[in-house]
Amino acid sequence: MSGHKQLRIALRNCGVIDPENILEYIARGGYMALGKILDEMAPEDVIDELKKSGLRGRGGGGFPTGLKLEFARRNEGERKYIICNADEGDPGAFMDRSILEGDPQSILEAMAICGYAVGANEGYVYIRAEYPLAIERLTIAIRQAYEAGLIGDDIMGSGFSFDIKIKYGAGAFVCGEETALISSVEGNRGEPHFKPPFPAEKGLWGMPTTVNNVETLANIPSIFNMGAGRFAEIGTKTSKGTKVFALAGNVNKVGLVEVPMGTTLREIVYDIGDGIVGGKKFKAVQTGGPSGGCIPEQFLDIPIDYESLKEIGSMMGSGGMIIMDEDTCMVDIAKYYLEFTTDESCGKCTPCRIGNKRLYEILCKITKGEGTEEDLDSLKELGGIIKDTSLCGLGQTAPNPVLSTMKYFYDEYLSHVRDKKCPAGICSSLTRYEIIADKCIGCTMCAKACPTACISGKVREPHKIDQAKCIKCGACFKACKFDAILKS
Amino acid sequence: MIKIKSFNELKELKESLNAQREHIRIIVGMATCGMAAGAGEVFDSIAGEIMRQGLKNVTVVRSGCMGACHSEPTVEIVKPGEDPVLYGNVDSSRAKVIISNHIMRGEIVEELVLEKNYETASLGEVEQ
Amino acid sequence: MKKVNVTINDIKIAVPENYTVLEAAREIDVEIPTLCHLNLHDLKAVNRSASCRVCVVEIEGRGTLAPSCSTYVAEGMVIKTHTPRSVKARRTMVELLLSDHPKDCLVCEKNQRCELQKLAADLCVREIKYTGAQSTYEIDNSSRSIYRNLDKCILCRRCETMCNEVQTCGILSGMDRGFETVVGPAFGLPMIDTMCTFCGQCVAVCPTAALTEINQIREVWDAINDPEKIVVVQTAPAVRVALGEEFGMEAGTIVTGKMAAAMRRLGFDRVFDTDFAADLTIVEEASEFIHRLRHGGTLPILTSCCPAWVKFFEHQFPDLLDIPSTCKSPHEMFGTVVKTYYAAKMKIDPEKLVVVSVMPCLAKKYEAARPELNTNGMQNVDYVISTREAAKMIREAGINFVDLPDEDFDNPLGESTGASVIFGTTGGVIEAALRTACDWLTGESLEKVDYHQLRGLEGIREGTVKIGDMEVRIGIAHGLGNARRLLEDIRSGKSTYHAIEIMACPGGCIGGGGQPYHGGDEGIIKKRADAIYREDQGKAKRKSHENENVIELYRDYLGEYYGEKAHELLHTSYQKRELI
Repeated sequence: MSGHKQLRIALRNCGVIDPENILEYIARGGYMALGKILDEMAPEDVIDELKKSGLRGRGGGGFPTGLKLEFARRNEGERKYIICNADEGDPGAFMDRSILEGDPQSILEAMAICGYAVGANEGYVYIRAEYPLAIERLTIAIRQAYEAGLIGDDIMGSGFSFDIKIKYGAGAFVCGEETALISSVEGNRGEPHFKPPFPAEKGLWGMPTTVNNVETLANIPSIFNMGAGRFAEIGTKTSKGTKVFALAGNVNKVGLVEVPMGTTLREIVYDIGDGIVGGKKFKAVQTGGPSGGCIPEQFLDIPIDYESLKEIGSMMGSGGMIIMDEDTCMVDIAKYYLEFTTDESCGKCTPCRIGNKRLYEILCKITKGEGTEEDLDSLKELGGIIKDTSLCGLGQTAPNPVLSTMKYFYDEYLSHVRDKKCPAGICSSLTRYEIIADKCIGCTMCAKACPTACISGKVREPHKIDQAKCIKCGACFKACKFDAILKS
Repeated sequence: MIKIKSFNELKELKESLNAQREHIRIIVGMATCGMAAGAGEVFDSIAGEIMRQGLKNVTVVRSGCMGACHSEPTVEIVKPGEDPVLYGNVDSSRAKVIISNHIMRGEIVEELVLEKNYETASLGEVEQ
Repeated sequence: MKKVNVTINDIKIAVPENYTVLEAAREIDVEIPTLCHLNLHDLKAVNRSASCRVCVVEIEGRGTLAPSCSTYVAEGMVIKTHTPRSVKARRTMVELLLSDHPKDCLVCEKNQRCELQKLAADLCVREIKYTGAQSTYEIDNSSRSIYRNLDKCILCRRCETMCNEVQTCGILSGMDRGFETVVGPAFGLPMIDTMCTFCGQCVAVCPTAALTEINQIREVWDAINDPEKIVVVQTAPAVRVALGEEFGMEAGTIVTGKMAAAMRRLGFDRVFDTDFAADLTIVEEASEFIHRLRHGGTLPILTSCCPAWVKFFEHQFPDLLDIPSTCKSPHEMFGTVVKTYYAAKMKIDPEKLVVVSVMPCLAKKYEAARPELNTNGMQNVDYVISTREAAKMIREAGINFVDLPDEDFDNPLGESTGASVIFGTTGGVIEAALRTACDWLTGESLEKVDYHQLRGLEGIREGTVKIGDMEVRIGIAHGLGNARRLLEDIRSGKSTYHAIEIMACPGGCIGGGGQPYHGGDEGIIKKRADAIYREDQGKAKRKSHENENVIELYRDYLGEYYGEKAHELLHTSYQKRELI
């Protein structure tokens, strides 16, 4: 490996080929894996190879892909299905979209490979309707693959047939959960069901079904091209290959990065991301989206894999990675994520529907300065019970942002409830702006900037803020050139 | 598009496609993020400039995301036999400069170059 | 069934492998509380949404608690049902539900009948631990039958299971998401604007007061207390085998005599029996069947006693409107007869008559308001109250029901045969019709009155009855999902039946939406069915056409069976309705 921190496997063709031209994909080795498999491998060998590669689901859970396919293969069914989960919904995550927009053929090839492995002849790509460009390119890709005889009937004369259709998701985050997704494909309300039965036993229309996320699929042709053994050399003991992250937040070089498993957060933030914007202090990194947690500085050097992230209260998730600097209020961040999950909860089970709402309400209370120390106990206790009792992964992980910030930034919570202060100055109800008379030269800049006209004073005389009218927008603070406004 | 009827036909097609690669490729990152940053205009401007200059051995490619969200729109120049060069923060006028300097005169526009900080896994051949 | 070994609370036990943890725990007398769970095995009504999370238990080796209602046992499974962790989680679930639930238990329709209330008491919830936003929705009392107060909905989804899976009506489903999730008709339509059949099965299974009946007790009291009115009450066959449950009597206790006595004490001026009208229905329907058989009419003939079923086919099978019998349902026939024949006979101004039906059914409330069920400008039936409402009136009036003496119905509309009694259970109407049709077609009075092959709780049953040298093929369905299958066969030409009986509610009227809550115990429904057949057995006359009051009615007033006057008064028509 060269000195580069990034290694592109899933993204190998993104930004390299024209996604609307199947010939460019073929020129880069596209469909060679499928061709080889159909030509010389038995379905069981395909599954063995995937098991050997150590590939695990990239959509969040990290379940071994080969094993998943094996279950579906073993279960009897009149028909079987392969579903590509392209219902990417984590705030700030766009790995799957990028792959579908940049290399849609790789997904089709991988679905056909999975189909062959489990004995399925039909596949669906469940993609959110908010991804019009990805849908357009995927539609073109499917058409071209049919025309080239690389999907459809009797692929490359092998006798194996595989059809692929697109299903649009209507923007429900929970439909990323496989049982909810299947329900939605069937035309029902996108709601998770209790497992078992797992989709591998009773999935789409009651038939054995394998659901794989886009990034997982994107890896599959490469595994057969480079060899499972070589793939398994990349990464850590338990987590093989690479992981794509959508690097965002207060980092200089935001972007889509793909790194070998085991890369440290520090390498991602500082080497690839080029450090924190404005040279500020790193505070935390949020991984795993709304299901994940916030990781503090002390863990910057742990090698990232499924297990290590879980151990420190976060998770791999689909790959959103949001970097936060010292000006971030962790209570506010927890509130933000919880607001997202309470909105996106399907409302089916009690802990997620009502429990998370109550957690959110407690956080609102705290950020308004009305919280008590008992509220902190409630957060911890209720959060734990929600994790323990929710029906699906969404509910089971929804309290993670709260619990992980409480674990690592408890002082900040205490400041909010005990001192009624927001140390980062984000929670407006807890923030106060005052003009330091000694420093104010009466330039009137603050008064001009104030949207509520609550700053008064004569020119060249110290000004004053009417606290009753102040909405804590911070405009005066930014406008003052003499550091005469104190934010506390 | 011809229908590929066997694995051998696929292999032959791949070889013939790679044998033709004599062109300079100008790849424009045109995923949703690139488009939002103005990659569409950049593409039009590049395609227009190629026409105007009458450049025959250049292909302009609409591609997906190159990963450098911090410097969209991005354009990569791939000349046969040379290392690819990735440009960031390209707009219509900068695109013209890239064409006249890099494509036509072989001079890299250093101030727009982004460090390419990744390696692509060798796609290898199918293990025989 | 293969058995597997599990350990529950340190007790080792072998249970069938298709058992849930909940069922396995019952084997060692451990009751795990449930809320959303509903399992009427034989009626194929199972709600396994696993959504309330009240029944969670600890299973060794699992990271999170598992819902016992939907977790199946496995070899070697080690289960702990009442650990501090699971009990606390359980209590928290109830506390959370209560935090989004009105606290008006004292004045709630379901006070002391509410499963959430009971659960809160059982789990020693003694404070409203969590507070915050509460869902509020508009009351839907748009229909005559079902009252929806979604503020009280706990999203157990039982109503959806009944409406969608059992009845295949698809009126109720989850809408919106997160805290705003609610169960209701598409587009938030009021029930009256949907194709809801008002079968009331959603009400029958609702654990709280989110779904209850539209109560007409007040109107009935007002009529009773109005000196100008002569208030006539009739009681449906299925009421007499269930009403006792409301007063703590064993399910399946026959309380016909006490019921008649109670009605009289409530102040009704005449206490009659819908069973009389059931006999009347049979002679008309059997006549219609024979007429169709002999004159090449449309077959099969479908029974039309069940108003939910009638509305169902009007919406779903408008192309088949010519196959149901045109006979009005028994209580409508009864109302018609009261306001015509009886009024004339007793020289009463029919305008002064108020007909009240006590029914096991909520659809009867809707049916009573159907505009075509009107004779001489008067609705045939004025008010319908459910078995539950009747019990409420009895309690309100301070009547000690259990100790009441047995009394008879009034005459001349009080006599009934065993055939009419079995109307209350699935298979009963067709059996009653056969008893009459066989006699008439053979011209003999046959000994055979029990058609055991038509009885039972199987969703779709069929049988062949030999009448003379003709083989009559009978189909029976209860539950609208089963009815749909029979109807689809008719539509596609596959059906070979001569006659089909359909009842909308699982089990028939004994399992109606207006009956005392069975609380998920299908044994109660079975006991009611047994009681119905016992009542039939005990009757001196068991064939409808032998009912003296009925014979007298035709002789003195209606003339011929299935004749002109009978058509005018006892038959009705159906209309095509929209699918929404």
